[in-house]
Amino acid sequence: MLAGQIAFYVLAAAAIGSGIGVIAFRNAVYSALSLIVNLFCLALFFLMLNAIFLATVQVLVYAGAIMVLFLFVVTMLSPENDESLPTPDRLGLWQRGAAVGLGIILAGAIGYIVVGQAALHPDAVATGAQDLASQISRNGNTEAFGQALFHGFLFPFEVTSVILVAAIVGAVVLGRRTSSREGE
Amino acid sequence: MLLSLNSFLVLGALLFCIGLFGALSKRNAISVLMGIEIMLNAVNITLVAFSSAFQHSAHGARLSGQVFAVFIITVAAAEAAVALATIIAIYRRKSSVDVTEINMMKW
Amino acid sequence: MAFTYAISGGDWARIAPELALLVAALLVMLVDALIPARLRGALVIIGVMGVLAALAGVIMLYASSGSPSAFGGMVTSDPLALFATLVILAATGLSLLLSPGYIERQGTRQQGEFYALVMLAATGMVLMAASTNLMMIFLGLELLSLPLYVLCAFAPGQQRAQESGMKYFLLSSFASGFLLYGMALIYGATGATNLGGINHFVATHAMSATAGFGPILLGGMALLAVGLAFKVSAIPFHAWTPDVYQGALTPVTALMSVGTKMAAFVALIRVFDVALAPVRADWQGIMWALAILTMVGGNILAATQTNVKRLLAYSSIAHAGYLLIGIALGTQAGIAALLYYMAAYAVMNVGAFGVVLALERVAGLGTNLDDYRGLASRRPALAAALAVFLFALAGIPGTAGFVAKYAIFAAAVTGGHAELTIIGVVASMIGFYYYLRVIWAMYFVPAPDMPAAEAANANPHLSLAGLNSAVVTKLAASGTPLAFSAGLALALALIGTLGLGIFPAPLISLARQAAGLP
Repeated sequence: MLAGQIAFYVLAAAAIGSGIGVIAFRNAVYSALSLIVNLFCLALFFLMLNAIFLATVQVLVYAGAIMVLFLFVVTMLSPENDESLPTPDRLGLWQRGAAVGLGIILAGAIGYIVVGQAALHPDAVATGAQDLASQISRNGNTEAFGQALFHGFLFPFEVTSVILVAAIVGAVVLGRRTSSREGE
Repeated sequence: MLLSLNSFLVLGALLFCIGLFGALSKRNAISVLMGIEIMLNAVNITLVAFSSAFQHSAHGARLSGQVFAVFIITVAAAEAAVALATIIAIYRRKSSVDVTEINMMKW
Repeated sequence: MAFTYAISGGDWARIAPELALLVAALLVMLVDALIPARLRGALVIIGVMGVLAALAGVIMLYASSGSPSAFGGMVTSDPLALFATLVILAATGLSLLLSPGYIERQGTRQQGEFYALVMLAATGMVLMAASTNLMMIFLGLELLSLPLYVLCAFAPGQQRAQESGMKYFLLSSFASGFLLYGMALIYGATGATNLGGINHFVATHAMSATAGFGPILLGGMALLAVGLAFKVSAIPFHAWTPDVYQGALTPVTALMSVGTKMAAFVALIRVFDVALAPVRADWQGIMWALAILTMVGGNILAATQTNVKRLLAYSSIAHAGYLLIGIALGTQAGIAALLYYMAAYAVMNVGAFGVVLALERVAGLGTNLDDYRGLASRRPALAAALAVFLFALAGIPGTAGFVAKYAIFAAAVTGGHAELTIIGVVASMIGFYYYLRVIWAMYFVPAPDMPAAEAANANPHLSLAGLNSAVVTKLAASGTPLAFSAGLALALALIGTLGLGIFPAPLISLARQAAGLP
């Protein structure tokens, strides 16, 4: 319980800090990266609130797809920003050293887990699995969510598909017009 | 869960204000858009916090908050696509996405 | 599970108008890909047929019996939704008819996408008006907004259009943020997103101080009001309106000024006047202040304009103020008056924009007040049509605008808010000034030298070949000839403006039915 509260406050600090970072950085690339951190923090909050599916969607769609689009546009539109970003050439020796050190630690940790997995006690595995199953059945998450989405909320779900069609047509129109004009 | 509904609501409100400030204070269209994204995410955390507070009520009330949040994410994706396409179209013409330079029209 | 819920054919029949518009949008895109480029102008026919099919759907639903609710209470086809659908269909149909010729003149190549986006926006408007769930209101709003963002940025080679599209997008999604936060708080306060559930909770809990969720509900209402006030361009959330209306292609402006308003006002009616009626004391003050600010501010700002498109944009803000009276009253008579006003506004406003469109040259040129000087001698038919529309907007007896203003002011008096009537009448007096200024310029100020008109004559993409008729030749005494379909649209709008002014009874009874009055 206490751990949950500590986790909440640490995450809340990270979420608010990265949120402030989005608006405080002058460089749009840093802003976009801060926004990704912010979205990840929110995904973890969704997990704390038992919204497992939503957390997954948040990471995959929001922090993944949407923010990649943002970063793509930011870097495409402001090539001068490349110079303000530290490039590999300008990385200090200590940074490379730290990177190598952390990489070795990470590789070692993963190796230890992979090799040591067989050592997990079978009862612990069974308990863990049962706990997860009971949690899901108690809190009814992804399954209940799917039931809700495709029964009670089926109609709004269908409407979002129309919205996506409109967005696709719109993006194509806006994109194609400039290219056809350049072709003139 | 010991974490109270209020702490999530306060977090949502804080994030909403941060996004609001960003959307109002930034001059770059993409940064304004990022401020709006933070606002939408603040709404999502609020919705999910409420939906988890309704844990013991009927399924409909509990899950509609989560379903609403998924729809907001979907719409945000659609909006981002259209907005970024517009930004690129403007940029190709002007080489600037500064909203204060969008000044051909007087107020 | 608790959600076993099957969708029947009856559910789909309840959204027949939306489906007709959506199918038309998809058909436009499909046919667009199959026909040669020179035939694309004919795609408007598919759009118009979609509107007619949707109209047939509305008539079918008016005739049908049974529960209007569909898809588990997500949408409805009650008389309110059907009336709003009629208004939106009128605006969509007239805007479609105004488009051929004009959008080619503006150099638009992607006509298929233009018509498809118009139909998608209309689908969103109808859907929003039919929504009975906060989620559906949001989705309908986004479905109407996304195509409009693109349509606003549509005029090729026009920086102003792209900028107005961007400005609309940023301010509109900003407002959506407020709207959503308000919806989230209302959901938290009442535990429901469907309006029936919200109404039930609010009615049974009566929002006493001990209810606990009181402040959350208050905050939610305030934020939701801000979000929707932005969409109906109420002052002080109006700043985007003049720029966007001026920068967008004129048929889009016409559609937006009527369709978005209608959809957003129905949402306001459903949320505030119906679902949140038990806590009317908490929100009535906001709407009252918004109505007064918008009426007075809109008219004063309009009086200072020198561009006719901008003037009409500010006038549409002023009309949003009169319409807000209907919301602020919270009575069924107020809602009925609002609906009738909206129908009248649809024909007279689209008509006025139609004349502006007929006179507009490439890139928004020819929309300044100076360009209208001496119009009566150059193009008497167009000048007369514009004069009728402007008289109607000003509220001269014999036109739809007069009946509409009378109905809403009378509802304010019987609803116990005579002060709104007094302020409204004073604001309308300011309105007379700027509407008459345009008419004065057309009839009593001599035309400047004629090079502008000569230039328009030399414009190569003028007429819609082969569709010309006596109407066109008569209207086209000088300047850009009017496409046949645009002439038809103006004629329909004229009939509507005068017809609703002289025989208002049938539509008034329809509006009263929509408001739940006998």
